Amino acid sequence: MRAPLLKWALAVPAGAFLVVFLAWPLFGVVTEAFSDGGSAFGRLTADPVFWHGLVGSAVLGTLAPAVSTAVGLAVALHIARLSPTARTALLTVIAVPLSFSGLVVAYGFILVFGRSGFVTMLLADLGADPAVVGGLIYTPAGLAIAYCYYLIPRAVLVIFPVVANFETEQLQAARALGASRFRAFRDILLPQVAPACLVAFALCAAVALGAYGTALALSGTQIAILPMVLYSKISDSGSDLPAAAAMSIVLIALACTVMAIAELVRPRVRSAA
Amino acid sequence: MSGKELRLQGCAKTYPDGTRALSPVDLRVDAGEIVVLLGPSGCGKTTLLRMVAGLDRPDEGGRVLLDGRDVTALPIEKRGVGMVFQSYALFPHMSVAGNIGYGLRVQGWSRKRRDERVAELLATARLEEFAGRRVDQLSGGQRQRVALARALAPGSGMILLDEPLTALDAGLREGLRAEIAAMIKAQGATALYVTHDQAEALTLGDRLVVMDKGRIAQVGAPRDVYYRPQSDYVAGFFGPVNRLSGRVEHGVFTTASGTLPVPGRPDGETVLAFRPEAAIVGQDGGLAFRVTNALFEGSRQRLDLEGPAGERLVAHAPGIRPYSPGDTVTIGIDPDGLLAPAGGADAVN
Repeated sequence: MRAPLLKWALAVPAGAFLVVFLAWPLFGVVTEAFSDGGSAFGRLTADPVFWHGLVGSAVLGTLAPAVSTAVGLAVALHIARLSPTARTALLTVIAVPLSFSGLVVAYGFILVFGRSGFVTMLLADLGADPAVVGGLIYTPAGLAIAYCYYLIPRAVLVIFPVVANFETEQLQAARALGASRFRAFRDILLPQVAPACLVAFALCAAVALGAYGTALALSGTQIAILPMVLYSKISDSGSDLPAAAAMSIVLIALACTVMAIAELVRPRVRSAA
Repeated sequence: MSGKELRLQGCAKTYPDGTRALSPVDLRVDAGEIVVLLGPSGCGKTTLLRMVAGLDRPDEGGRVLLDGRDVTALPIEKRGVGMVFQSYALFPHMSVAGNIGYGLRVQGWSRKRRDERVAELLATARLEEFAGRRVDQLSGGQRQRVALARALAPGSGMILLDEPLTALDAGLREGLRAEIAAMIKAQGATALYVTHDQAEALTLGDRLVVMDKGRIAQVGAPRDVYYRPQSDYVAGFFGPVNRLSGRVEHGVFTTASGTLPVPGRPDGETVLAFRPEAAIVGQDGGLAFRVTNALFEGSRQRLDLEGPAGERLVAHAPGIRPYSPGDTVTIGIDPDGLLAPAGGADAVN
C-alpha cells in the first residue's frame, strides 16, 4: 500500500510551511506578549492611542466590507445577466486590482483625491474647502473607500458563483404568484445569496482589519487604525515589543471573531423561513 | 373557484433580429379546459405560453384576454396566472407548506385562511406528511406536485405549465400525468400545457394545439388530431402512417398485394391511410406481405413489411407469436382505423 504514504507525503511541504511560517511565529508573538507577566496588556489598555486605533479599525472593518459586499452583489447580479463570453471577460478584468500592490493604489489615490489631487481641486473650484476634501482619504472612513478598490473584486468572486447558479425561474414563479419585482428579489433571491454575502463580508472585514500597505502609503503612521499603531510600536524609537505582540493578538482575535461569526450564522441563514 | 377563459387574438412574435418565432395566432381556451400546446422544439409553443404569462409581449396588434379583460400590457404579477416549470423552480429556503403558501402571503390572505388553503392543497397533492419538509428532501415527482399546488393555491383560475414532466423518469412521468390533470380539474382551473411528448399530450389534454414552425397546424380533441390529421405533418407527429394506393370498385379495395372489403368507400382511385396498430396481422383473406424486419418490444412487436410491388408498411402485432424476416403474413385493416382527414384521403398524401 503506497497510497497512504503518498497521501502524507503530499501534505508535508504545506505542513512544514505552516509550522515554520505560521505556528512558530504565532507562538513567538504569544510568548512575547506575556513575557513581562501580562503587564503589556495593561500598558496597552491605558494607552489612548490604542483605543483610537481600535475605533478606527472598527469603522474601517465595518464600512469597507459593507460597501464592498453591497457593490459586489450588484456587480455579481449584473455579470450573471451577461453572455458567457462577456462574463469571462468581465470577471478577468475585475480580478486585476487584486494583483496590484496596495502602494500603487495609494499613490493613485493621492494623485486624484489628495490635498492637491485632481478631484480635490475640481471640488475646490466649486467652493469646497480643499483641506477638508483632501483630508478625507486620510480618515478611517476615507481609507475604507480606498480599501473597497481591492475588496470589491474579492466580494464579487465570492458572491458571483452563487448568483450564477441561482435559478431565475424562481423569480418568475414568485411574480406569477403576485410578487412585484422588488418583492420577489427580497423574498426569493436575497435569502438565497445572503450566506454568500455574509462570507464575502467576513472575508473583506478580515482583510480590511489586517491590511496596512495602502494606509501606510497614504498617511504614514498618522492614521488611527490598529495595524498603524502596531507598526509604530515596532518601528518608532520608543519601541515596545511586548505591547506590539499584545496588540497583534487583539488584531488576530478580531479577525478570527469576524470569520467565526460568519461561519456560525451561515447555516441559520440557509434554513430560515 | 372557477377557471378563466383565455383568448389570444393575432398574437405574433418577432425578435429584434427579425426572426419570426410565432406567426399571428388566434386561440380560445374555455374556462376549466386543459389545452396542450404540442410540437417539436422551436415550434413557438413556449413563446406562446410566455405571452400568456406576460414574460413576453406579442408584436403590435396582438391581444391577450383573460375572462374578456385585455391583459396584454400587464406584467406577470398583475395577470393572476400560476406557472409550473420543467425545473420545478421551488424556493429552497422555504418548507413545502411555505412554498405553497407563498402566493397567499404575497396576496395578503389572513393567517387562518392561508393555513386552511395550504392544508387543502397539501391534501389534493397527497403531500400532507411533507408539509414541514425542505423541498430538497423530496423526489422529483413530489417536487412537481408541490410546484403545481403552489401555482394553484391563490385560485387565480389560470395555470401555465412549461414541460413540467420532462425532467422526470419515464415511469414516474406516466403516473404523474393523470395526477396533474386530476389536480387541475379538482381546482377547476384552466390550463395551458406545453410539451413535446405526444403521449403526454394525448393523455392530458381536453384539446391539443399541434404547432409547427411558429404556426398552429391543427387544433382538436386528442382523438381528432390522432385519427383525423389535417396534414402530413400532424399525422406524422404522432407516429408512422401507412399509405396503400389502389382502386375501389363496389366496396372492394384492390391493390398489388390483394383485395380488402371497404364498405361505404366510393368507387375510384384511392389511398388508404392507417396507423400501424390499425393493421390486423394474420387476418384471413387479407393482403399478402413479407416481413423484412421484426422488433420485439414486449407487449407488442413492430413489423416492417414489404408488398409484391415494393410497397412498405409498418404494422403492430401482439408480442406473443414470434415473426422473423422472410415470413409471409396476411394483413387486414380495421375500418375504424382508417385515417379520414377532413379534406379526404388526398390531404394525407
